[in-house]
Amino acid sequence: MAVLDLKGLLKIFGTDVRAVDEIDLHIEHGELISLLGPSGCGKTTTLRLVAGFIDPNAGEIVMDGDVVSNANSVIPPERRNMSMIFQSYAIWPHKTVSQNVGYGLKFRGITGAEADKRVKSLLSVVQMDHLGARYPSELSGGQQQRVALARALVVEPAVLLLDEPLSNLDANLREEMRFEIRRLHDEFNITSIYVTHDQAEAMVTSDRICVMNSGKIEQVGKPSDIYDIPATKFVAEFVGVTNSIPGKISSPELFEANDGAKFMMNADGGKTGELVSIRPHRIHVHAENADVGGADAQNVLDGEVTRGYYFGSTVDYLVKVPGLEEPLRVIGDPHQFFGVGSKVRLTIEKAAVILVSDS
Amino acid sequence: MTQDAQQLPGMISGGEPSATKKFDYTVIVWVVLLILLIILVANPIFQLFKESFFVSEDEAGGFTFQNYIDAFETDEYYKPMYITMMLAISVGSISLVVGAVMAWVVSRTDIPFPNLIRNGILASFVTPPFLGAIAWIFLAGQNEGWLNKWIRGLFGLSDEFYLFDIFTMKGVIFAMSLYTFPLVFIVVLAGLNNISSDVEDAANVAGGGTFHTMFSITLPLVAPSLFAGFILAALEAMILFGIPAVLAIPAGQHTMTTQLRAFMVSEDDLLGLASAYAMPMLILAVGMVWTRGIVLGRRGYATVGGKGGQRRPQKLGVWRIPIFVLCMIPLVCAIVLPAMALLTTSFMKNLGGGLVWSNLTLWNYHFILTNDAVRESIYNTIMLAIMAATGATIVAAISAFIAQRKLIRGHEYIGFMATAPIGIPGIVLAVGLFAAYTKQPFVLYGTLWIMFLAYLTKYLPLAYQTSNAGLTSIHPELEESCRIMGANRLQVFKDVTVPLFKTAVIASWILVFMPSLRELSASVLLWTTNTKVISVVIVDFYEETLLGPISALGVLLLLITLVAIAVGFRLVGRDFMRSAG
Ligand SMILES: Nc1ncnc2c1ncn2[C@@H]1O[C@H](COP(=O)(O)OP(=O)(O)O)[C@@H](O)[C@H]1O
Ligand SMILES: [Mg+2]
Repeated sequence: MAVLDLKGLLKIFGTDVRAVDEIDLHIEHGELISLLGPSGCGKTTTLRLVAGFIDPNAGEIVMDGDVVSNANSVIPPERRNMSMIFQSYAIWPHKTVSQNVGYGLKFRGITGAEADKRVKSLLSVVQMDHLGARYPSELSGGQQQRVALARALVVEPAVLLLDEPLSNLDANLREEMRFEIRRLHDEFNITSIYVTHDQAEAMVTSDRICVMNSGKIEQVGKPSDIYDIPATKFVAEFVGVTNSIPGKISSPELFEANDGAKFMMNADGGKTGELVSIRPHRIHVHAENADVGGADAQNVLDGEVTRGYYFGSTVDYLVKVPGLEEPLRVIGDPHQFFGVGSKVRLTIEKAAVILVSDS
Repeated sequence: MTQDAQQLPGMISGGEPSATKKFDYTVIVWVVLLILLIILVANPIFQLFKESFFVSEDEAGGFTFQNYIDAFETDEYYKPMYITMMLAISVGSISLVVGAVMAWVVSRTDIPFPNLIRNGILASFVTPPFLGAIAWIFLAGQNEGWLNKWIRGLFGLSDEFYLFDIFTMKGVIFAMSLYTFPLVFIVVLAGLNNISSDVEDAANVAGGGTFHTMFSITLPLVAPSLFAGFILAALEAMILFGIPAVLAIPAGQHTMTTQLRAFMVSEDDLLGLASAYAMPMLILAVGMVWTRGIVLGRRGYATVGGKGGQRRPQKLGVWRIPIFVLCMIPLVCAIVLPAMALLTTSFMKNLGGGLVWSNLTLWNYHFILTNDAVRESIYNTIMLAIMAATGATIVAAISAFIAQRKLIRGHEYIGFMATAPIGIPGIVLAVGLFAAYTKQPFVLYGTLWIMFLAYLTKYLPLAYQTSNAGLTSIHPELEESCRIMGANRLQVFKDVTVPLFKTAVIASWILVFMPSLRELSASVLLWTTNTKVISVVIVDFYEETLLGPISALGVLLLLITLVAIAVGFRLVGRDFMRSAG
């Protein structure tokens, strides 16, 4: 159990690759936080800094009040009481499943019958109890993943680090293992950092999500906040699909798009931004001239359908609206289908219009 | 479950972490590596170069171009160069056709027993070329050759008639090709196996037939492998000493390698002339190896593995059996017939006496096992092979480890240095070593050490490639996962690195041990009375026409090699021969 603090953490590769660019992050005891971002944004580097595999150029990592890494010295990985799940699983091919799982125990003074007992119990937690004598080459990808999980958990680490643990699994298994990881976290309650580039994975597994881009943290928050109230254009577009509309604030509750369209939004004390983000499914489609109620409580826009793809449970529209440069992406109800060229009326609640910054 | 149980011994609790000082081995490692490189490569090549520009001491001494003028203007010396080039091109071409066709058949068709063909071709590395050539004298000598006798008997022809004569240039080309086509086979098979079958399927779907697909899609894609295979085979033909020594010299012809030896054993001091004569070979050989590296790209060293995957083999139909029989012919000629010929001859009193009870004897074995010179050569051979295998493996394993784990600054140049001797022909290397270590202050000539240096240099690149490939397959995360579980660097090394690296190290040892057992082209220039090795004794006996004892020695050499392979299979598994290419 541990509280982690990353303070002004900087890692430069070579002379100018700022892989981790002065990030600050506080991780609560027993929390599962995910680092989410596109490939190359510095997630792995951050994780390996926490593990102690690489030394920071500046800043520090504090664990339960003790500095474990700073620019001058780094406690080696083997003395941090952390566990890590690697992208390649890193199961030792020359050891059996049981030997793999039990390996870390001897460094913690646990041997003999007690060690066997713990290995057995962990193997049963990951539903691998019958495969202890197998060698890794005789296991499927999903089973190797489970061995990696058991091996990481059996030592009851203070911190669990996971680097894209599911990226080598096929789609079905990946979905199943997401829930498995969350279940294990709820059972063991270990402070965990989960690296992924898959937003759905981050949403399902995490208590909080930390969105990274180019070595910097864009936003940290609960999954629902990240999705509903993105802080930046990058977050809004990386986590789900959105309409990003550039323009400027003309009054605290009014945003004016570059081409003239106006959007009412909820005032958010002094928040600034150069764009608004509107999720496609927060836009409702109605027939031309439909009576949609008061235009002072919600935004009402008229436009013309330029594309409509039918998906069974939804319809994916592009609607050209006067005063907007780009057509709006809209997810509509399939029971009322509007063909290309139809005139439609759109309504958007004030709360669905989110002011975001461009950076 | 208490907090205490999880506390790792030595885990810092409170305050600043202690500074972890890392000792920098850069200087030490580089000094050692540079000294090795100087002793093994730089000094011999430099001395070779130097000697080529000096007249021998007992004449005037001093700087001169005379050696080069002599080497290239004298008809007698010029002709071997011409013959060598002719051999290289013909052997290269024949090997290319045979090796490539067999690779295609094994990789792409429904030929029966493809693995038998593949492993058989790998096994043909077991017979040393000079032994093969001697065996082929028994088989295809003009008068006494068994194949000629058999044909005479079959058709009732006169004793004058012969179909085969191994003592001709054609015979030399035939014998060489038997031992060079496997090189093409391995490279081309790897090339073929690396082409995704989708590419070919796509061409088939687009309407291309089997042969159209082969010529328009497959052939261009394997062109680099074909070229590399040709170069390898031609290079081997150029630098082989054993086969021309056995077959060409009696036919009155010298190749560059045998001519080089003639210079070195001459009564006169012809070291300068020999050095000048070695230069074109050195330059050509190194140039060829580089060209091959460039053509094959970064995957310079092909292996037989490759991601074959599921393929839809081409149906050979009625040709299936005939083509299989055709494919077996080179194998029978390279392995089965020579082995049989050597084995039977080794038990015969009289070569022409045939396989009858009265002609059988154990005398040949008795002779080699009681002859002091032979016994000493067996001891020397095994000693040298063990020393070379151990030395090369240690140097290779350590430098590959340092290079792969980026342990020192400049680690990216280590691979280049360890493989620097690649392409230097053994006989040229021997001239260089002779030039470098026969005079004060380093007199190694006359000891086993100079031969050790030759073997070490010759096989270091092979050992390095094997170790390096082994390390590449150990994912760094396997070691990192061990550290994060609580193991320090030393424990990681012991628990993960060593067990996983062991296989490659053993493979590298055996891969150097085997060719060291039969090394000839360098040994033949460096031996002295006390430092003979088996291959040199065989060539000696050959010059004295002691064919029976040669066969017995050959059988013994093959037995030792087979034991080494068997041990290798046991320790490493059957894959270890793969890196032999
Ligand atoms: N050992 C290294 N040497 C040099 N550059 C590196 C190294 N490791 C990572 N980088 C660079 O740092 C950046 C961040 O990499 P990484 O942390 O692996 O990203 P992510 O895990 O988010 O995909 C990338 O631009 C990558 O190329
Ligand atoms: Mg990564």
